[in-house]
Amino acid sequence: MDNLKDHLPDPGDFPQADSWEVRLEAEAQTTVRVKDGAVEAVNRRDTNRGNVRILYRGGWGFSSFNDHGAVREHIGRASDFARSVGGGDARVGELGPAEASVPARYERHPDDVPLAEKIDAARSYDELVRQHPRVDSAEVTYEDTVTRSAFLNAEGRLIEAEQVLSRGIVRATGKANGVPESHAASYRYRAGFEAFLELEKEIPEMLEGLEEQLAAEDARGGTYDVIANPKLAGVFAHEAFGHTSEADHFYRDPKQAEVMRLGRTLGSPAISIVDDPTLDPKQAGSLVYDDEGVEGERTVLLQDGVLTGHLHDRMTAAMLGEELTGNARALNAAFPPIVRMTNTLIEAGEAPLEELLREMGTGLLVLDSRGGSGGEDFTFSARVGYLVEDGKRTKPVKNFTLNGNLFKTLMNIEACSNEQEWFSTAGGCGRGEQFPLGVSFGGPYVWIRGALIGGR
Amino acid sequence: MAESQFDIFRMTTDEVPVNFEAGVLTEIQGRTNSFATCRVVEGGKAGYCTSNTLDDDGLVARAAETAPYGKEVDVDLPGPAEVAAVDVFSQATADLTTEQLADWGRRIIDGVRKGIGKDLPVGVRLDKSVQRFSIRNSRGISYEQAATGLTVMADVADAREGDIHEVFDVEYSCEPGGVQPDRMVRYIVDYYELGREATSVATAAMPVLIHPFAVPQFLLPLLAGLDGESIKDGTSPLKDKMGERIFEERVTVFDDPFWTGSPGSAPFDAEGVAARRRPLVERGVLTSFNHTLETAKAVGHEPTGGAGRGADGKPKPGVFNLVMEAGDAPYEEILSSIDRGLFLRYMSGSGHANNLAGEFSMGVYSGFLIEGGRLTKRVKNVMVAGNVYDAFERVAAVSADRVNSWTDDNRFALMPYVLLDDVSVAGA
Repeated sequence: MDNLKDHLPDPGDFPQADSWEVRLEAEAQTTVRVKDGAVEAVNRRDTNRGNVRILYRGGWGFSSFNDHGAVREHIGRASDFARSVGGGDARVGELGPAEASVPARYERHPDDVPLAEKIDAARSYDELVRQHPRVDSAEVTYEDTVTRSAFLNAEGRLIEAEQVLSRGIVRATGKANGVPESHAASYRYRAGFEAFLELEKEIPEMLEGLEEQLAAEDARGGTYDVIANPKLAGVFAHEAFGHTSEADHFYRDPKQAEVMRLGRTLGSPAISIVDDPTLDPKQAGSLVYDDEGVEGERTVLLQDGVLTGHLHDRMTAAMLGEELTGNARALNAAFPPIVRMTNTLIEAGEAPLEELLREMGTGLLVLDSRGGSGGEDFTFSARVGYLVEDGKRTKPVKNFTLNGNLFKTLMNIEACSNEQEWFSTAGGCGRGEQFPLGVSFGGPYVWIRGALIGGR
Repeated sequence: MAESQFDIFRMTTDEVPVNFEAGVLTEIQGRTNSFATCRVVEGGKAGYCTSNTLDDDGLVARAAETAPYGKEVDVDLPGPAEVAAVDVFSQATADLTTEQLADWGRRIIDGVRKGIGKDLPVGVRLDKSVQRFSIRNSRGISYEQAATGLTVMADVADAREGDIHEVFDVEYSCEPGGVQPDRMVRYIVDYYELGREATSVATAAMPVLIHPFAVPQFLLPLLAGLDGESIKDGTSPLKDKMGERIFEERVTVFDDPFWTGSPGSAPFDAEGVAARRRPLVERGVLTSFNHTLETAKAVGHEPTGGAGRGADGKPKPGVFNLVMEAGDAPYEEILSSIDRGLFLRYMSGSGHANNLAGEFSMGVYSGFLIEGGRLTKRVKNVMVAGNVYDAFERVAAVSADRVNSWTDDNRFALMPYVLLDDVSVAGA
C-alpha cells in the first residue's frame, strides 16, 4: 500500500510562504443499493486526492489534484495563485508543532467483511420493510468508506489518520389516496460494519412514522405555538443558528459582526447551544483534529440566550482576535477547509415534554424535518406533525413548513424539555459546493411561540 | 447467456475559482479532479466501479468482480452513430488568466460600491472551468467532448438583527462575452435600492410572477415525475399521462442539448446515447420522460439521452439543459398587468416537500411585493405552497424574455418569467 507520508514535501519546498499546508488522502468506498427485492447497484470506488494551500503576503493560493506524486508541481501552482492575490490582509495565528496518528474506530473493519455479507444484510432490511402491509416499495443503501490521510503544515504539524465511515439508509414508501409518502431510517457514523447491523432496531419506529404520514391530513398555514421534536430542534440549531455562528460569514463585515458580537443577548434565557466534536467519537461530526490540524473542542455558542462563542478556522480566529475552535473542515482534499460545524446541540431544559404540551395547551407538535434551508430566514419542511388541543396530541398533519427569522425565533423560545437526543443522519451538511459533510445535531423538545407555518 | 458488455465514462474538470470577500480578493484556487466510472454487464448482471487510479483494463476487471452480485439488467449499449457537433469549448475562456478574472471582480465591486456606498460587503466569485469527458463501450463507440464555462456570482448583504437584506446575481456562459459584469452591477444596485424597505403579506391566494432563477425550483416536482426510475417503479404521478395535458397550454419545456450558451450542451450523454432536442411538455401536453438505457428498456420506451454519471457509478436519468419556450409578452408588460401580487426571484427550501407527489412549499429567499403593476417593497417571512400540477394549470403568462438559470441538481436552464394565478401565500 502506498505510504502517503512518503509523498509529503519538505519545509524547504516553500521558501517564501508565510504559512502552508499539504494534505494527501486515499479513499476506498463500497456502495450497495437494494430495491424491492433486487440488488440495484454494487459500486466500488477508489479515489486519490491531495491539495496544497499557501498563504503568501496575505493572500491564499490553493491547488488540488489526484496524483500524489505531483505535490511539487502543485506547490508551484498554489504559490503562483497566492502571489496573484497580492497584498491581501489574511493571516493565521501561531500553532505549535505536533505529531499524531489518529486511528479509525470500528468493531468490524469493512475490508474484513465479504461483499456478499454486506449485500445480504441490505437485502434482509429490504425484505423486513416490505412485510409491512402499507409499504409498496423499499430501498436500502449500504455504504462504507475507508480514508487514509496525511497532513503536514508549516509549523510542523504532522497528522496521519485512518477513518472508517459507515452509512446506511432504509427507506419505505407507501401511498395514501394515491399520493406516495416515504420515510427513512438512516445513519452516518465513524464506525465499522457493526453500525449497519444496529440499524435494524430503528426500522419498527420508522414504519410507525410512515403510518403516521399516511394517516395525516394537510396542515393549514398560519401562526402557531409549536413544539419541535429533538430532530427538528437539532436541524434548527444547525441550519439557522449554527451557520450564522460561522465566523467567515462576518469576519469582514462590521455590521454583521455587530449582530454577532459576543455578550449580546440573542435569545430567551431558555436556550443554550453548543458545538461539540468531542461528544461521542461515533458521531459523524466528531473529530480529534480539524482539517487545518487544530484540535477540535467543545464551543458554547449560546448560553442562556447570550452569545458566548463563534466557530473559527485559523484565519477568522486570528483576524477577529479570538481563540481557535477547530472548526476548519473540508468535504475532502479536493476543497480547501472552511468554517463548518461538528456536532451541534441544543442543551436540555428541566420539564418533560408532556408538561410542555400541557402548558402550551393549543398548538402544533412538529416531528422531524425533511430538509430545508437555514441562515437568518429559515424554512424547514416538516415530515409530520400533530395538532395539540387541551395539551394533548390529536390529529396528525403533513405537507407544511416551519419558517421564521432566526433572531425572532430565538427570542420566542419558551422552554426546552429535559429529554435530549442527537442524530447523525445519512445526509449531511452542505455549504456552497461542499456537500455532504458529516455532522450530527440534536436537542430536546423545544417550545417556540408564534411560529409561521406554511401550508395550504 | 448474453455476451458481456462494458462502457467507461471519464471526466476531468479543471476549475479556477477566484474569490473576493467583502470587496477584498482573498483567494485563488486551482482544482483538477478526474474520475472514471465503468459498467460491466456479464451473465446478465451489472457491476460498477469508479476510480481515478485505474486504466481502462483495470476498470473493466474491477467492475467485473462486482457483476456476479449485481442487478439483473436488460440493456443494449449503443453502437456507433452519427452525433451532431456541439461547440461549447471557447479557447478564450480556457485562456483567461487569474489577473483578468480578478479585474472583472474589481469592476463589479467598484460598480456596486459606486451605486450603493462603500460600507457594505460585496462578495464576488468568478469561476473558470474546462471540462473534458469521454465515453467508450464494447460496441465500439468512442466519443470525446470538451466544454468551457465561466460563472460569475456577486452579492451584497446589509445585515441588521432580525433582517438581512441580500441581493445576488449570477451569470454564466461558455465564452467570456456571454457574461456582462456591468449588467450584474446595474441589477444589484437597482434591487438593493428597491429592497431597502421590507414587509410581509397577509395570508391569501394571489398572483405570483416567478423570475427565471426560481422557475426551475417550481418545476422540481415535474423533473421528479419525469424521472425514468420513478416511471419504471410506478411511483410517478405521470406514468400513465403520456399524451395528456398536465399544464396550461402556454407551457412548453425542452431538453435542449444544442443550446450554445450552456456548458451543459453535448452531442452525446454519459451512456453514449446521441443527443436530441426533445420536448418534455409541449403546449401543456406530456411528451417525453427522461430515461437511462436501463429504465427505457424496462418500460419498453426508446432511449432519450440526457443521462448523467457521477462518482457513484450508475447512470441517472436527466436532461442536458432544461429550456422553457418563450411566450409573447415582454416581462415589463406582464408586471404592469398585476394589480397586487408577489414577484419571486429565488426561493429557499425547494424540493423538500413531497416532491414526487408534485407538492411544493418554499420560503421566499428573494422577492418583492407587486402593487399597481410595479415592484414596491421587498417581502420577508413569506411562504408559498401548492401542487405544481394545479399551479401550472393556472399559468396566466409566459414572458418573451428569457434568462440563464439553473436547476437544483446543477443542470443549466434557460427560463422565461412565468405568471401563475391564485397561488397560496402565507405571511407573518
